[in-house]
Amino acid sequence: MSERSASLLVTDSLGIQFGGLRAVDGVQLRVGSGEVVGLIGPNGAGKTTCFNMITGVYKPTSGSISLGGERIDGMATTEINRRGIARTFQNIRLFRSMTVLDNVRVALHRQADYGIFSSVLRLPSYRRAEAQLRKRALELLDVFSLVGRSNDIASGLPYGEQRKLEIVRALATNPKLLLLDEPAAGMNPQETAQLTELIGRLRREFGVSILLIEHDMSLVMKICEHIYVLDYGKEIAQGEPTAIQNNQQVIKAYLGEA
Amino acid sequence: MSEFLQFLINGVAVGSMYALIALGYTMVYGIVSLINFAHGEFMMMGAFIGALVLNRLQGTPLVVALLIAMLASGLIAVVTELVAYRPLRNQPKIFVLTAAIAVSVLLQNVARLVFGASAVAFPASFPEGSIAFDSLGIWIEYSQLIVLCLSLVLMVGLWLVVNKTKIGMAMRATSQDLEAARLMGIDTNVIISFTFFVGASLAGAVGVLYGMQYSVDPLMGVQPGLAAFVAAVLGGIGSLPGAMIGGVLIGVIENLVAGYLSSTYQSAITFLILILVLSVKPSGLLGRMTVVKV
Amino acid sequence: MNLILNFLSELGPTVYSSLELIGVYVILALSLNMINGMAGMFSIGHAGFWAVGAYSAAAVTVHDPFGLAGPAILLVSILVAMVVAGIAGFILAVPCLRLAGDYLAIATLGFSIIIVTLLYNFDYMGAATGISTPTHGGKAFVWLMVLVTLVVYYRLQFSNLGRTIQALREDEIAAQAVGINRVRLKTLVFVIGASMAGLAGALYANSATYLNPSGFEFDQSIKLLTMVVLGGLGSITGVTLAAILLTLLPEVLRLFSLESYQMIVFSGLLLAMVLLRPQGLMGRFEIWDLPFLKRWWRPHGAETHA
Repeated sequence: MSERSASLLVTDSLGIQFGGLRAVDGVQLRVGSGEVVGLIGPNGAGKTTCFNMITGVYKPTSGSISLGGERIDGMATTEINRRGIARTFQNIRLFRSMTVLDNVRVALHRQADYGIFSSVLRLPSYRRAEAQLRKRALELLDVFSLVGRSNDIASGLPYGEQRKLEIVRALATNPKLLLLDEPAAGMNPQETAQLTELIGRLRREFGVSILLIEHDMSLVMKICEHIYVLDYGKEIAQGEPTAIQNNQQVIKAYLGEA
Repeated sequence: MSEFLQFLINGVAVGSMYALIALGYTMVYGIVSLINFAHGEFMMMGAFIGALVLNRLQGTPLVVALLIAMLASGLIAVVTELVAYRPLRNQPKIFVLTAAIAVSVLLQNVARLVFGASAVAFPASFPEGSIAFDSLGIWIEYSQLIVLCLSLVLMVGLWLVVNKTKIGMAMRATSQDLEAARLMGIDTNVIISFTFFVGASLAGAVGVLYGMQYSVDPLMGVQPGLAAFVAAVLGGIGSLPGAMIGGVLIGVIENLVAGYLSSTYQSAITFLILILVLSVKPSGLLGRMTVVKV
Repeated sequence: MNLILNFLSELGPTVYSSLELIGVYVILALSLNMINGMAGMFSIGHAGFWAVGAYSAAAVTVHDPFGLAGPAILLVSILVAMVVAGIAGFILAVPCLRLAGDYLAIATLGFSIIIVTLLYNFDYMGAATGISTPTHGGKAFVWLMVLVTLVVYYRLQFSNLGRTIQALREDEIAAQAVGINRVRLKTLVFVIGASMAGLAGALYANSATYLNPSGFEFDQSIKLLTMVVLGGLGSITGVTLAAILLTLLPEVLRLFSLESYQMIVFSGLLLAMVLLRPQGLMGRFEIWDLPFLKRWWRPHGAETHA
């Protein structure tokens, strides 16, 4: 196994129980800074539940989560985002009736905190900050070739562009770690190839680490340095892509008992 | 001490009526997650229709008038759901709630136009008199006894319907998971209508009892309706036993407040309880918490 | 025919004499629109904040604890009304904003009932008999305040505050995932809305000669809700127009001697709107979308660009 960079995100024996159901149990994830890590497994394996725990939507019932050495489990979603984790959602959750530009500006809101009075009186500080916000939003949209869509209503975008907009929105909060929940779902092969390339760019240009859930194995194998495999809430394997590809237990989990 | 016991008895008597109204709130909420704002008006309609039957058809036995009132309230609720709530089922919750508020005010004002704005005496009344317990220094009025007994009968009836009949089983299934119930072949629209019918007919029965004890007017459903709603929340919305316990508790608390402090603050106290429950334990005494799907 | 002529000849004076009331209702409807429309919360007890504002302002102008006179007393009364109503909004918001929409609605209703109950028993302010209030400002002043409210509302909508609160309305989980502090923001908007209603209260106390608790009961909250739903939740133009029309409606009904149907009309209208046209009369249309205004009036955020 090759050297991995310093840890950014670490989960230790992470687990959650809903009533009698142990949805996730004893999961040990590690994302190094600058890494792209995959989280795969059959449907219902608990991948999205892990995301929900990492981002504070659910509170874990056992184990811990830390970001850059600081415990974040039990914190509110807002707090966790402010500490540097942003995400996309499996069932796209854009601000549907707002424009594309506004979706991004909302995510940028903390980078222009000018206060109510300033906005009511339209003081110079407000104008400056708004101009800056707009510029930054357009820059980010440009990375994903969405500038031409700025004034469109988000819910009117084609599916693939909605997924991209969700990534832009997450990126706008200036995260250290980006969680992508099935970013290629519903995309055609051409769009998927484009996305693969974009994820590579995100890491290079924005220095962001990525943890992604994905069913498209060609994408996962191409861009992930390290892969974790979940099945029935438990971690059944981890390692480099080639090792995972040949792991008997993983093949069994995906194909079922033959 | 005897004073306290007396307030307690009065509270339980009123509270049993609140409980019956609260059952309707809680059943409807359990199935369609709607606070049926117009529920108190179904009670008012029951009172007016009971009075109408007794006035127009001289010699109708009270029990028959009660049953007609229950039937009529139930039907009004079914029609309300069909016309005003069902079309909005897939809309944001705010719209259904707005529709419910609108129906509530509309029914109040229609009743005001049809029956007049001022309070009128109900054509029948409870037998006068009471049973005194001299050693304790308290008494129970016949009217309170009748209200209590009738409430118990209705509650047992509801319990039998919900737990011992096929349609009751379908109701329980629908309140667990509407979509799953539909896939299991349950006609959930029928179940929703039936739930509204049952809930409103209980409210209609309370309308008659309330009318007999006090009087009948277009706004008579407002205060008991709100008290019963608070009772349903206190007991844990969606829970039938919770609604009954909550109803009795609210009745008792109101009477203690009125007895020891002042009756002017009765509804203010009721709402204070609501705000407290919601901020301390929103799931109520017997309610279950739900997990949001992401 | 006679009836119509008669109506037309009386309409002008009616509108003129209702100008102050119209202004008050425009501010009230906008303040409710901020809570129910912009923020997507659901208050049905908004008349409670109005009452708090009106009575706080009257406490200043009637009892004059600061020893002021003339226009100064009016300005101070407005300030006091806005602060007290804002505090009331804060006190209600803290326990209630964690609640789902429908529970919040009931809690606001409860709040307004508590307020009215307290006013009925508040001897210092005339209790059930009510209290006479002096007038220090006229129609022009009221409408100046309406204008200020419109500008403030508009500018808040097209700022960080407006965008983030709309995001929260659209999707709470996604909004929190981009770092929006749900409780803080909702509390803030609730307080701003309450304090705008407080302003309306102060203006009402100034232009009405007489305050009575019965003027702030639930039917008033229903009227306000109808205005907001008729105008379209969130729409500035629509809600302003709806507030003007619906304030005149009772006056018009009075001209035809139909005033006893007032609440039937209001509740019927409310029901018809949610069932038939939930987006409000004009939907997403705003006054700056008019063709001849569009060229130079672009609210911040809707600019075109290459």
